[in-house]
Amino acid sequence: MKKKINYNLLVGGILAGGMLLFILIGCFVLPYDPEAMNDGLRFARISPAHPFGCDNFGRDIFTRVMVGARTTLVVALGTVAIGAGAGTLIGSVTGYFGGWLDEVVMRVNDALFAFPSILMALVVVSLLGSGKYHVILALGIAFIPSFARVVRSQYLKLKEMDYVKNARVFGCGHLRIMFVHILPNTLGVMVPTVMIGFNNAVLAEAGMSYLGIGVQPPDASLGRMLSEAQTYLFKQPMYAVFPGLAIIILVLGFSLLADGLGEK
Amino acid sequence: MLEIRDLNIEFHDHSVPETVVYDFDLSMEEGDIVGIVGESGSGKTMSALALCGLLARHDMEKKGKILFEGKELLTCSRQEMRALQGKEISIIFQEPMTSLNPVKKIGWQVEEALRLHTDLSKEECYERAIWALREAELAEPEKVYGQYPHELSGGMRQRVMIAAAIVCKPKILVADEPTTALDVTIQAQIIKLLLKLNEEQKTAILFISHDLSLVRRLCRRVVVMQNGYIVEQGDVEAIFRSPREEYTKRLIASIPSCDRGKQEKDLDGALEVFRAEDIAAGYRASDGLFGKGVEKEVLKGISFSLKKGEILGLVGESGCGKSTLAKIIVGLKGDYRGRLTGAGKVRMVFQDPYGSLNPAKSVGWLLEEPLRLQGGLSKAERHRMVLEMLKKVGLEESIAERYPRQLSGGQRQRVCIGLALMSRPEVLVADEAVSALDVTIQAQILRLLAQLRDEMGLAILFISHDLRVVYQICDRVMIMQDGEIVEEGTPRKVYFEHSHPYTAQLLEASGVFG
Amino acid sequence: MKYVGKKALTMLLTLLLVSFLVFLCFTVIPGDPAVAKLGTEASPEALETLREEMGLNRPFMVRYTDWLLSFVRGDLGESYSYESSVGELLVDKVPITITMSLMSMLMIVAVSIPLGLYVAHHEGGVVDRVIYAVNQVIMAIPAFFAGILITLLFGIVLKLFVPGGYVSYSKDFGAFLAYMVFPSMAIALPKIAMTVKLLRSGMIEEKKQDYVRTAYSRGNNTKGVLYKHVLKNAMLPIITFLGMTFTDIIAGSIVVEQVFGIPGIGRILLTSISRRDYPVVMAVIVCLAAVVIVVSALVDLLYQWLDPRIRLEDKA
Repeated sequence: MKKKINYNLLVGGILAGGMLLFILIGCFVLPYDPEAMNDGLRFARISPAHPFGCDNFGRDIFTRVMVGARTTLVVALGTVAIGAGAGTLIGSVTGYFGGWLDEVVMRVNDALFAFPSILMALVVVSLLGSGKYHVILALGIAFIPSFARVVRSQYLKLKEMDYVKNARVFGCGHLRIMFVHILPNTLGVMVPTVMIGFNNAVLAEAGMSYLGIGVQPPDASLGRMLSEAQTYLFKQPMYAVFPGLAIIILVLGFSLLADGLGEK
Repeated sequence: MLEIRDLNIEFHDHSVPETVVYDFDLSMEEGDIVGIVGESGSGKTMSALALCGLLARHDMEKKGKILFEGKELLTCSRQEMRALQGKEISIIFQEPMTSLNPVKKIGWQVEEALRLHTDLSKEECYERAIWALREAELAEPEKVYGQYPHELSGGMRQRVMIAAAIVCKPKILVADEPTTALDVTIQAQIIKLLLKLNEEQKTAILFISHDLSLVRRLCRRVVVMQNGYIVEQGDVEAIFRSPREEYTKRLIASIPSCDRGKQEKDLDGALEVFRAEDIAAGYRASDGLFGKGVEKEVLKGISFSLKKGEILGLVGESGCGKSTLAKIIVGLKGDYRGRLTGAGKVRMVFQDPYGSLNPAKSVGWLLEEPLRLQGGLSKAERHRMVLEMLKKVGLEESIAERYPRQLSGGQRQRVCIGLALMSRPEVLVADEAVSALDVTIQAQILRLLAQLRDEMGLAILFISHDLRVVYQICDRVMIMQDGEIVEEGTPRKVYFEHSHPYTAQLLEASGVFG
Repeated sequence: MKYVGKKALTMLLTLLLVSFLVFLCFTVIPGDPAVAKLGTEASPEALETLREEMGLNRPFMVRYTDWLLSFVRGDLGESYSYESSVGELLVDKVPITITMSLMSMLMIVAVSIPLGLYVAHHEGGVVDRVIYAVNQVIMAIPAFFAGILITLLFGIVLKLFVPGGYVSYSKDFGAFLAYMVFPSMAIALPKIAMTVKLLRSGMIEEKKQDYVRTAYSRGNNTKGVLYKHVLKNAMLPIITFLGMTFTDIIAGSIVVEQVFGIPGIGRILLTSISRRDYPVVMAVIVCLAAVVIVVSALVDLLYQWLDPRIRLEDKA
């Protein structure tokens, strides 16, 4: 049988894998100190020594993209962990049991869902202050409703399946049904959802840091680099290109992966 | 009028072309009724779709000749084909629920063929649509005209499909399993309607079905297909009386017969293992946000008992409450009135073997689960018991490593039965457990159930809509209508000496006695 | 009619819930607003007087009801940092955000629907594949980076507008609209890509349905099947999606305002957050949430009205 190549999976894997490798290498080796300023190198052009050039303080952009991408990855992973974890818990309980609990929780969930997630994160940050961990918490909370919705709809559908009824007939407890019998069957939907959630988290973190209310110095962040780059757009347009490209490649990689997984 | 010669259909979506229909031949005259019979994968639907010009995929190759009134349909242009579709050649499908566009009105859909093929004015179109709806025996054609598909019952939708198909008075009507999704009484009405159309309009009908006995009631000629080949074709009665080919013989043999001389088992001395007394249940039809809700009765005081080794048949049409009763017996529905005795040892086999096995787990894991819940057994013991059970239900040991999606429908249903028997129940509820299977597989599963009953002394509540199957396998039969049991007794008594008019109606509709 | 009533009721309940949650968060978490206003060095007496003055010593529910009632009457409270009422502060910013949102919505609908239909019709063709690839890339671009790229391309390279040269709508409405095209484009771009993708996959999914086969069997050509049968079915989920997109547009406008130097709602929200000016933050958030909730309720009603299957439930 001729196997069709899943281009989405292939290209997505290469992009996402490449980005992750890039970030991983950056955890161990960095070409320069990301904070080292050098007046002589202000707006240095692209050269073998500085493949992405230098910024307004003469810092090496390649190094800073490496570090910034790492921050972005950490924030996005933390966000998805909180959002998907709490979302799965809420969604599975409400979807499986239904009734008034479901009614109440879903009403609150809908109310929260009405908030654009960045707006919700703004609320949390304005109350708790900015910084890496607050951003994770803020975005994590903001992402719970959307995950809860997806998981709940899966449970609503799957609990009506005959195999779940069958498990109940031979005396399986509710918790075991929920997490041993049903949960593995949500994976097909959850994996792409988590990937898309990850992407949204990357985009949201970048947006918040761009606005100056996200990750704070000394943590490098792609969003804040872009906000600085915008000021010097006339002088050094390439400064904006590389951090932006890093975000795009990361997001593109995971969205292609999510699509590719859905194709099967 | 229609001449199909050496039709071959090949798929090219894999590197090795796969042929689904080989050398198909068929000729039809005006007013003919021809049946095509076969199990799933026999190529019967493919041949019909090719005739209707509905197999226009790029990865598919059709060879041979289809001549309709002298016109070659396989080589003519798409445009010429479209001019015939819906005008000279019409088709109705198996699923009346999904075959109509859900967001368009019935009238619009019935008139569509007229808009495409004629220059009739709006008023004339309306007249013709109403005529077609009336011809399809819909009670209030003017009302139905303005309704949407979801407002109609399954039987009415199939009538609408027929109305839309005959609105241009086609020469051929292809009916692809048009009654499979419907209840027996509705099925009988649709068959009658098709016969009437054939007689009055002289429409030739090509009837595709898996149900040999249904074909016998409707058609004059039959084509038997298997794995893409025509096995046998000719006069229906002749084939029934003296089938030439092995496959046809097997097909006819797997139709359960309602033979008056059926052996009846003596269960007088057997132990009673299950008893239901005065079971009643209903559900609340909610009436908006603040509405109190109306209690709708589904079961109205059902009582029966089961003895060790007995198979009790429960027959009824959809909506009669038989599935609700099954749910109550196995403990899936808690809000009912009445008393159950012996309900602790009841397990269930569901209709759909695809939905009743968890796709995320291996067969071995699934079969072990009841033992795991029961506790007190080592891993090795559990594994041994799983292998024993697989053998018992006629499966190989290697099946334990596989996942449900890797099994055939028959294998899955065997696994389901094994799963139900793992915790050594005394009573088994089989809810339409063989209805989704092909006839030959169905016969095998029925044999397995009877054999397990003998070996393990199981009592089985066999729920079905199929009167033949019930007659063959059951020791006692209950007929259910609107939440009540209207007739009960041995199969012989119920089938041949019934007292209730509904029983008579069911038996008549299902054509059990020819 | 009953359905509309029920919908309106849930909408009101949701609005109340949101306002309550916001009030709760902003009263409990940040600490004492009197301290925030006077600073930590203020004397305890002065603080106590101010608390009394601001009504902070009353029970929580009374304060909430009070705040809500005055909010409904149009009194959004007093800003801590600007010497003016929140209402005055916001009133001239609202048209900016509305213009931007409507413009982007218009772009999304006008571009994505014809494009989505085209690619669905020509599934598997060259155009389809190119648009698929472009879509994927566009969806990966954060809105503010799209803004920067648009500034780079249209502002610096093509010189179609002056970056940062925002003109107030009260001064020159035409110039204002001309400038707003670019930020709206930045918001709309990723949404267009998503809508096209969704419409395409929706149409292709619908094409597999049984009723499509029925439509072909009556002699329809592909065009007839797509536009007379499939389109309406495929458009229904798009309507819901566009309703949800409205939320994202509003969120996007906050960020994109910053890129293009537009003094709209987003700007004032961000300044207020950094200055911990909670009455302003609260007012903006409740207003934005209200808009989102009302819009999504309206979209829901539109959906009910278009889908005959749901209309029936209303009758039953």
